[in-house]
Amino acid sequence: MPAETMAAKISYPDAKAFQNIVEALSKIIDEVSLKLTPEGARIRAMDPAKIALIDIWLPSSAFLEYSVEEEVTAGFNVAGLLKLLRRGRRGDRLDLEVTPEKITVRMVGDVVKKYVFNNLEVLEPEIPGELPFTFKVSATILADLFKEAVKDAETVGETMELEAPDENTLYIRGVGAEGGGVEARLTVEAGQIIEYRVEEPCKSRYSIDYLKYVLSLTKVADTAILEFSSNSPLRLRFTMPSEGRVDYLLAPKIE
Amino acid sequence: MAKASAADMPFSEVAKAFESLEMVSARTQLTVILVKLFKSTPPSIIDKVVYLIQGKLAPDWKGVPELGVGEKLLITAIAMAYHVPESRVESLYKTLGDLGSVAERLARETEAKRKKTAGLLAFMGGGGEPLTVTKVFNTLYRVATAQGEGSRELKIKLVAGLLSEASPLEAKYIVRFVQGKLRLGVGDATILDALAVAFGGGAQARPIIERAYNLQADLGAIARIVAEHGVDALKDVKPKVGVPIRPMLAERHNDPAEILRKVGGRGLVEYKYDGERGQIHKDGDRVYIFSRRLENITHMYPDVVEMARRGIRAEKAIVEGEIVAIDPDTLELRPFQELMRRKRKHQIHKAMREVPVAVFLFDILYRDGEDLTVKPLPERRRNLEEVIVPSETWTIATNIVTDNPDELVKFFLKAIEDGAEGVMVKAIHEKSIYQAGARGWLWIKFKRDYKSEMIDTVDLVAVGGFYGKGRRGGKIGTLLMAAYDPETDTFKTVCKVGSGFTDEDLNRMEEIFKPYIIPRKHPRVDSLIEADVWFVPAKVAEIIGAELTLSPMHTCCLNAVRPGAGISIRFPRFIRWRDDKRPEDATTTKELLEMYRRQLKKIEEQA
Repeated sequence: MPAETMAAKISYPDAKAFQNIVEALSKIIDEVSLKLTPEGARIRAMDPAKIALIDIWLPSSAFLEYSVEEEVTAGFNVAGLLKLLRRGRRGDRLDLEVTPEKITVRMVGDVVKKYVFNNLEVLEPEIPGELPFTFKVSATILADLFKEAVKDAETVGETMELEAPDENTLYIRGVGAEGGGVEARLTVEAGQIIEYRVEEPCKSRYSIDYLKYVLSLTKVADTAILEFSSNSPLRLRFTMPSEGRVDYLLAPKIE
Repeated sequence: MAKASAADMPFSEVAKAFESLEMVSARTQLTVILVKLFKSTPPSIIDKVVYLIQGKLAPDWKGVPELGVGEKLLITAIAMAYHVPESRVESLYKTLGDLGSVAERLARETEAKRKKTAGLLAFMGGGGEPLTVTKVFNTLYRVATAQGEGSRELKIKLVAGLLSEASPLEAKYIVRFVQGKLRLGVGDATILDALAVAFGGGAQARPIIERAYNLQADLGAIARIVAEHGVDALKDVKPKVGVPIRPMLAERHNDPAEILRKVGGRGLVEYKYDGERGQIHKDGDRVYIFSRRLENITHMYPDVVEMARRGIRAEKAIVEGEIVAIDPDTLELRPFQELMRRKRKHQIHKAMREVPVAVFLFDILYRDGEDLTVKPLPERRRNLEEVIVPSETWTIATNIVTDNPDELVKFFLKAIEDGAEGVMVKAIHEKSIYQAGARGWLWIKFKRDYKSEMIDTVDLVAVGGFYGKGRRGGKIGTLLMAAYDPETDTFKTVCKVGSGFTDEDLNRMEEIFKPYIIPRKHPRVDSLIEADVWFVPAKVAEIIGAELTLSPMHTCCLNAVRPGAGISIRFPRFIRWRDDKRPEDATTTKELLEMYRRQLKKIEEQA
């Protein structure tokens, strides 16, 4: 049994923002481990169908208080955590205290709500650290714009197509079952694309269901970076104003 | 959940064995394949392999939830794993007729068309490692235990993820397992055969392994013991509190003399109650109840759990009894159908109030470290009597010891009349051990071959009364009812009725009968039963019951059908008073005899 280990204590300024991150997680996986190192907090989880991978990184500077002396892992049930985060109110602060046995969550607002969980043993996903491929296209757009495009695409079918034909244009299409479709055309000159890099023309398709899982992240991020290549995975990167980012890697739909 | 242990085995080994098993049908051939599989399985995971062969994740009594992936979800998972539209899966299903084959086909196509699987791993340079038994088992376990919000999606994704890593052959059997359609044709007996050959050197080890299995009904756990420690380790297997023992079963016969002869001339005869057989395990304050089919039914009987906590004078014990629905006021037995109202998980506390039960205990198999299954019945009975602290609803089954067929029949008829379905006759000689998991002639069921259903009501005269128990303590709660015999101008008893009265009826009972109470039996009443109070035959009541039955306790039509037996009513209920009728207008004994004969039918034996 562990000797006197100091509990790791962290304090996140915005419990609601944290809730949005956990909302996205809850769509993908049932149990995750939050790894706390002196540098920051990280969650990596692969969905059980192995179609998507979520990688959340919050550096220590994103926290009000961050006292983690040595690496510790907090394994929790996502649905359970989400249930109580939903009880929080706007402006609440989130305090987390982790020992190898227990996780103590406090939501601090007008009142302090305290919850204690067992620290679960959650298997680390078998994921290679570095991506063995690069992206030929990288587009930075407003997070809201991305959300709208997904919702539009959803009206016609289950598949979303991304196409970068040239260095100015990005098509986001919903592909319908019977050839129907909806298309959003984003361009650099109209200002919809903030930063754009296209090494070669690319086109690829992805599951709308899986894209919907992470829409809650558009509430906490200003911008979304879309990176992809033809018939290759898509990486969505949501950067948070308060530092930190969420990467979402999604396998292509190849039919 | 267990982490993947160092000793593991590719799942493909299991899938290949499944394929071979599917191609043969003779038990000897099945055994050969299993032996080969067991020998190549690391002992620490052989339990998982055994469960997979059985098409389960644990013995039923462990209560691991069902996988909960129906056909529809499975189709979604297959479509997701192979990146094809669900319509494609559905049309293949129509052609191939089996989702396992559909997955196999799609996996093969995926394999041929592209580098690897459809998921992310193919792009990540990861994956590619073969599935292991532990991984497959643990993932399926997660599928089963996923509950609550989002669990549907999680189940689909877990199955899809597994399929995306599986070879075509593996995919086929994973899908069939999930669907509950493994159908390998391998029964427990064949698995026992194979374990004996693989780890016990041959058939001579079979009885030892089988006995261990009978005492601890967990084939996976038994396999692991024998694989890890050899057959000798199974020799001292004892019953274990919390692990069900496979119940001893009875043969059936209907000739009383022959029955007694078969048990050695003299036997213990006890009521065979019409309820649910329960194996009750007590470990300190913890109580488990297992059904005859070894399901954990503890949640259905919180009241029995409480009875066992108080009523077993031992730290650890396993006793057996019949759980029967009763009328709480009269403690009379109620029909089996009543008990079935407990067969629901929700609102069990409500059901508990509506359907109170009593437990009639008949055996003890384990007591504080001692395996009693190897002791003869009289010794077990002595132990049972020492251990049980009886109460109104927690008692030893009504019984006699006899060597006389007539006495046996008389006791049998009384059992039927009291609401039991017959009697059990049990050997009490020195070899009368508890044969777990076996059906034999040490125990013999004696049930009715015929019954006479009661279709119409009858009007009977109240000739006596009995004071109630429990809630009705001290008040007249049960009436002795009689039919009229015009030939002798007497009233002959038919039944005792305590059910069907409203609270108001019961409250008025004293008032109604006050004018008719007499100090001794009325001269016109013919009764073998001693009532608590006697009445002048005056009040007539309409009565219905489940059946007309023979009884040694009642005088109506005594000796008319069978020597020493009269006609009685089983499960009688009061309907209403018939103040318009005089006692001489009551149903006559002759009418009852005709009713009995008219409805007499052979009982079709149910499985």
